[in-house]
Amino acid sequence: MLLPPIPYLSGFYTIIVILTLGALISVILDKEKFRPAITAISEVVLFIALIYIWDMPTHVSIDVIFDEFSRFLSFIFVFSSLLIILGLHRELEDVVRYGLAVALILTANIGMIIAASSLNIVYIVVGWELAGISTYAVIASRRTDPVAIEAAMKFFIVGSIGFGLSLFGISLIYGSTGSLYLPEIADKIQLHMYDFNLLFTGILILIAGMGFKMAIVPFHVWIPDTYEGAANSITSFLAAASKTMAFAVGLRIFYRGLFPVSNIWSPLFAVLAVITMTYANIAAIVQSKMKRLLAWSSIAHAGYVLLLFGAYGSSVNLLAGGLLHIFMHAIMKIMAFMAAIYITWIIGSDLIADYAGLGKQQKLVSLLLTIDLLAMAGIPPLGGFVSKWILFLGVIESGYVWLALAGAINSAISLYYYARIIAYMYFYEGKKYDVEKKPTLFLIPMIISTVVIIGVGITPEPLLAYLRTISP
Amino acid sequence: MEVLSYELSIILWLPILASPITYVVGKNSRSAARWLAIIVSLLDLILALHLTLAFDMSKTAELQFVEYYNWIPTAGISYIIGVDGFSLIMVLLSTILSLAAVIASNHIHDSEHLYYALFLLLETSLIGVFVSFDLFLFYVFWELVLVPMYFLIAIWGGPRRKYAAIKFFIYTHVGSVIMLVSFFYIYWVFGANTGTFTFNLLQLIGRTPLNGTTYSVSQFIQLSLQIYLFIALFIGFGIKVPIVPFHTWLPDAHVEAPGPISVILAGVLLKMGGYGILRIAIPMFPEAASYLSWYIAIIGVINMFYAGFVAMWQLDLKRLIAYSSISHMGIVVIGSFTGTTIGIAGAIYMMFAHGLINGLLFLIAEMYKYHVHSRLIPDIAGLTKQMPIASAFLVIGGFAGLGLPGLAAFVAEFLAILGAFNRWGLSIAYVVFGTVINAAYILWAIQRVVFGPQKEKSDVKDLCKPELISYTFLTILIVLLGVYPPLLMKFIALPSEVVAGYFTS
Repeated sequence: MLLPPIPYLSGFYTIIVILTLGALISVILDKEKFRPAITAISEVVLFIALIYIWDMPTHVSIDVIFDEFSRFLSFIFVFSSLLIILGLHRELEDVVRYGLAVALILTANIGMIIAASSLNIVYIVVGWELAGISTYAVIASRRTDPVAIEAAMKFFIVGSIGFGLSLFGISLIYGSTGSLYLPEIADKIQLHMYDFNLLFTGILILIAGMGFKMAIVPFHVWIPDTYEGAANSITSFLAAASKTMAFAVGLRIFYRGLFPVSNIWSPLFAVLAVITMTYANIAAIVQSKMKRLLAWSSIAHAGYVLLLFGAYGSSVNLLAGGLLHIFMHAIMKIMAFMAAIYITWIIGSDLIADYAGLGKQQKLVSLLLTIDLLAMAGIPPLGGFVSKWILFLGVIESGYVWLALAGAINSAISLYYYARIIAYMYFYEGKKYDVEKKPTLFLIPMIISTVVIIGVGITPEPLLAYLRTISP
Repeated sequence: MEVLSYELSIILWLPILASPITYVVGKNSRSAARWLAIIVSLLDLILALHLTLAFDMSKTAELQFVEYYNWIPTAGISYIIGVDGFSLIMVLLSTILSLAAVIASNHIHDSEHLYYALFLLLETSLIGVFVSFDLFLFYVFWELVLVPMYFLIAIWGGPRRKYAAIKFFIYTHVGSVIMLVSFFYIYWVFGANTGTFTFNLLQLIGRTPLNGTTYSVSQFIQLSLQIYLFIALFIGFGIKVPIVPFHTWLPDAHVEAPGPISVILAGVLLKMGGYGILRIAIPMFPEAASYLSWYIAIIGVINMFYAGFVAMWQLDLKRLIAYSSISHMGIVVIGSFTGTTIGIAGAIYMMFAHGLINGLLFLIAEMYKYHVHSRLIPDIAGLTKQMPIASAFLVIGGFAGLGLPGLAAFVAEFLAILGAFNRWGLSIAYVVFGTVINAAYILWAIQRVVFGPQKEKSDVKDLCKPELISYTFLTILIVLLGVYPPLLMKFIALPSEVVAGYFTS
């Protein structure tokens, strides 16, 4: 242990307590003059939580199970938050209740960690909703900005519908199997002690409900609007952490509870995956605004990750590749949104066409964004390439060559819109921008993300070997 | 001769390590970037030659200077590099053309530091393709080539450069991902049947034993499925070759790319396709290759005729040479699929010779753009008096391109056609007519440019020093390979025999 355990508390609750304390302090200190202090304290709190997550012993009790799977996903949530709060500090300068926004990010983390560390559906749902409500509220932290309010409202309504549907699906599954504990559900199904019709309907409704959070086409319509309306740092939180949580929950429920009936949900997810990635990639091609493009790209990446469910089988690389891709997607999206806000700050526009000529003026940011875009397109030797292709390798190992081919062709299509952004930055002449105060704070998360992207690309072995030992 | 055990790695990584240095140094001094790039390319060539001298000529079919490290052992991916005779000459070709292209980059004046940094990045990726013997590593380099190429075409290219660059990038990337999916399928089938999951090419094709037994992927896959997989690989490699109808990226990319980059495109990038076919596609699925060889030979013939006819009515000299590349690649395709040692050696010989010849021709075409401000044949016609040396090089390059005996391409064409006759008899005779078309458009172009009605234009100068150096360098090699074929043949004879051994009649 790097840090001492807190008396009377097991490691898991320590994390929750630390994050809660951080949130409380942020709310108490919520004054304009304490703004830097809030950022610093929340960063420290998140960092301590990260260390606890890193080297806490596995925690197993009747309702909370903090295993390697939870550890990895909690790491993604907290690490993403660590990066985005730096951006938030700068981006929410005009917002009065900054401390509240930070506190909401911390409570969202609590919810996500709970959702990823339980096998009991009740706990999962509680964590899910805690994270959900926190994110609805944090989007609305720009209270005077109608666009942000609209984005928050949309997300709130759609998120609630999705949550309601998921609950309804879960209650049907409960009705069918008589249990809310995932391993028990699996046992009941394997012993044929369940009602097929109820279970089938329940799974369908559950997939629809989770589809809203996971960004599956056709449940994706809220995403471009919400992503565009929210502040960039918060958008990257949605793309990096919020969506990761949805996948974590999905992996738990389907891999741990419903795997005996994978013949029901696996083909469904396979079709949804292909529809999602194809639709999103085609939609992304015609986008003219950077944030909308990234939103669609995020949906497309959700399509790749859905292959985890669509190609469920005996593969050894599938889960490792999928988890690696979830992680890489989080990092790549944080990087992209941070670069987008940095560039918007300088050129005062979100249009991709206005990125013209940036390569000559903002050399560092252009270079970092280029590396990130190439990683998202899956060009070696970057992290996005390794993760995406290990995932596809797993899909082939499960015997779904056609799914891998669909993913590969989609990946090739996506290169077009990523390369277009690079083309605008480097190959077009643009206006000259003179900015006195550069938002250098954004550079810190960007550089950290880029180091991760290149590092994972060149030496993926340690992470991959670790991920192979994980099961949901 | 003694070599370091990791000398091949030095050759491979030297340019990419020099790339950021070039960028930083070149920021302050323009000529520093250029000189650094020239020195690094020269050093790389010298190291490659040094490696050649140490190469064991009695074992050209075997992998030498092998380096093996585990890279991603959980997925069976390793860092395996090495060279056999075939790889070695491709490394030599890459380093020779890189040097020639860097020297000939004297017309690049816009952000030179970035240009040379990207160029060195490109050189490492090109060498990497020819020395990696792990499919995953091979793919990494194969794709890495595209990134610097995309920037080099799109920043320093001609008027339609953005379109050409993105078309090139997407087009070849689509082929690559299809190829990668088949690599993964191969990996999976091999692993599922032998219990060892590996991307090691030599183990997959049965050249190196695995746990004491020699397996090859093809024995685990039925012929009907092999054919699909072979076609997938062939599309991936064929887009680079390029085979008609997947050739449309090439004229755009070649015409819009700056001259030195066209040299690399034609000289090395196209060879990656042929190399992949001979190194990976055929050994991996020999039955499918034998089964399809006749059809693919037809594709090769179509390549020759179609590209030859299209080349005939081109007015832009560079576009004409681009189409002549496609036409020549037809011979590579035919030679590769003859399944005879002679034919395959001819294909490899053509790959090398074509790299030198079309490299020279592209440099000349680009030179006209800077000296006469046009590449259109009517504009550059009749300037022989003012540009005698340039015209002489054009004539030599043209004659070499049409396969004049005594120059490099003749040997290649002769061997490839001989191989085709050995395999298919007279039914392949029309290949000969393909070479006639080849001769026709080149001769016609030379006639129009060099022997057209003479005219005087002001401010037209003959070759400058860097151009003269790089042209002479290439011309000497072209002549040398034309009059003394064993120079190259002794490297490729045994590797060709190995590839030919995969074919069943």
